[in-house]
Amino acid sequence: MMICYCLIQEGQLSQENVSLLEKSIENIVEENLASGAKQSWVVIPKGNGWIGGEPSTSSLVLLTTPDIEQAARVDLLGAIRDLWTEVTGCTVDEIMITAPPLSSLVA
Amino acid sequence: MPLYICVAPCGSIPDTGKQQISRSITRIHCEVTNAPPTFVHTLFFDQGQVSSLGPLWKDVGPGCPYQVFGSIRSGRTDDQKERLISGIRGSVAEVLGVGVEQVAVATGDTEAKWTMEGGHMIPEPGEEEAWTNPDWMRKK
Repeated sequence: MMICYCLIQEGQLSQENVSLLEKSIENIVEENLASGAKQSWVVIPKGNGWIGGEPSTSSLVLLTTPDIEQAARVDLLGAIRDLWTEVTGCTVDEIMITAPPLSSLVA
Repeated sequence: MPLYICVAPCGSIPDTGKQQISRSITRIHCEVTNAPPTFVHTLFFDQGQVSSLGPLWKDVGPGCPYQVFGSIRSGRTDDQKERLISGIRGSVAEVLGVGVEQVAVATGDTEAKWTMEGGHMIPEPGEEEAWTNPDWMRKK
């Protein structure tokens, strides 16, 4: 089971969009990693998210993976990028996705 | 990337302080690494929220009221990391009006090849020109 943390800015996404993203991430993980992912969503309260010293509108996603080829990782990241921009209407500059191997997080 | 997460006691940093700190972190990170400022993320959380952050957060100074953990691209030199840590520590302490002993700062390396931002895989430090050619990273 992989883990997925989604950090979003308060007031930026509707509950409907969050639900759609949750379900779609589940599908992407299943298709790309043949695995499930336990998702945790964290809302960053207004005034607590900054980018370049200015208020941020960016979402951040961390999704662990098994040990996979780099091309597969690029495809996975691209699928989440495309999902996020399509569902939320954000630009590619407003989504950062990190997909480290789960093994890299084990102390 | 980078992503700096700042943790403090609930309500201890005013909104103006958060902006000052985010600007200081951005300035210091860019001075040390030459990275573009538009990619420097700074997030603030209360101490009670850190358990919700999973692997995004590391307790960098147990017992220390103000902590900053920065996830930065791997490949930075030890000297760069030391300059980041000392610069941010001093700056946060100055903004908050507290002693540097009350501020703990650490960084952790994240492989560039694991991260996509601005629509593309982020380049290794020193290879920023590759940002305009995402096919390059696919071959890595």
